[in-house]
Amino acid sequence: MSERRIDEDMVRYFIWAVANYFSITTSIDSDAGTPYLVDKLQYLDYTGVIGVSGNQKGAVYVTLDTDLVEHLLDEYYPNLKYTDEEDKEMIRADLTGEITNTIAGNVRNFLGEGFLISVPVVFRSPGETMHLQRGIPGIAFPISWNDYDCVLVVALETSSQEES
Amino acid sequence: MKLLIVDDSALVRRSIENVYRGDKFTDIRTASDGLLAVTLYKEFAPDVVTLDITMPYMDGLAALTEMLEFNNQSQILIISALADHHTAIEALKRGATQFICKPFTDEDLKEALDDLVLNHSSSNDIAITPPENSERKAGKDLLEKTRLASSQVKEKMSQSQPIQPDPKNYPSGYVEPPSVNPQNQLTSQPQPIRPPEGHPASVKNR
Repeated sequence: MSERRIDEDMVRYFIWAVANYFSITTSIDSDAGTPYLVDKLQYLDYTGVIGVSGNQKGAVYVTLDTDLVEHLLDEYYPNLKYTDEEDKEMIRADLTGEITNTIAGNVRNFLGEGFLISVPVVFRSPGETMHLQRGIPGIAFPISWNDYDCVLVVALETSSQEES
Repeated sequence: MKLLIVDDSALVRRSIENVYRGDKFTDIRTASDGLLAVTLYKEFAPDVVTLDITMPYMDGLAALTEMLEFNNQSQILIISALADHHTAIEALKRGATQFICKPFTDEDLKEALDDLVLNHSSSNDIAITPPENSERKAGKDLLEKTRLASSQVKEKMSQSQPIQPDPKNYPSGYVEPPSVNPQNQLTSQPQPIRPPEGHPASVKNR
């Protein structure tokens, strides 16, 4: 029989990956709040999703507000040129996907090549509340960075032998 | 010199292009997936390629193999978020010159690209100039160090299968994760623990 669980190491890996992203990209440290279990999530403005297969199955979500995305683009990519608002919107979504991809990809540092990740999918549906993919419950990590908030949700399942 | 930037992120492609256009590279082209990258590589014949791994249609490792089968003279820098030891080894084994992990700083990228440009120049210089100048010697030394590192990697692969990840051998930019203890106990059962009040992800339980 299989059970759904995410071990504490997994929590550490993802907290490290988020901290690593903000620290290297912005030189400003992020703070991870108390993680909590969720089976549904209220999305912020931009949400990046990475599908996971292999040893783990499920998805990794990062959901961000426009203010945070704008701030990151303005401060850390100041020379980027946009052709029009549609182009800038594409880049905002792209940054969201890149953050999600980097965090999920970095976790392979610890979980190895059996942790397979998809290319990111990004969507905008601010304020929508949705159940997580395949009904797999997730752990939400509230992240604070430079007075902005965002949320990382890790919804993965592994199969393990029944413990007696 | 000619640079081909391959990444499915438009942000990454534009960032690299903005920084390096007109500096080291006079001709820069970009591709958003592995399949397009291979096609462009064959007609553009770049001196240096930056190559992502996780991309649609064809991933970077498959594209790398196809590129080098067609022409192995280019210097290829893998830039990927996939930070595991196995991926880095596999990329080097297939012929990549260097590997850096996302996220990276401007300095990381500059250092890596400088090395690739130097490698490329050294390779060309060997054929056309006599060996008496200090710059070329530095380039040769670097090339030798790269070859040595590559051969050590290959030797290591042949000695031990499967390779056990060793934090000392992780690609650049990596340190061991800090010892972060979860602040509350997680259980195997999904429990409706409420997020902190007022947090944007807060969802009221029905």
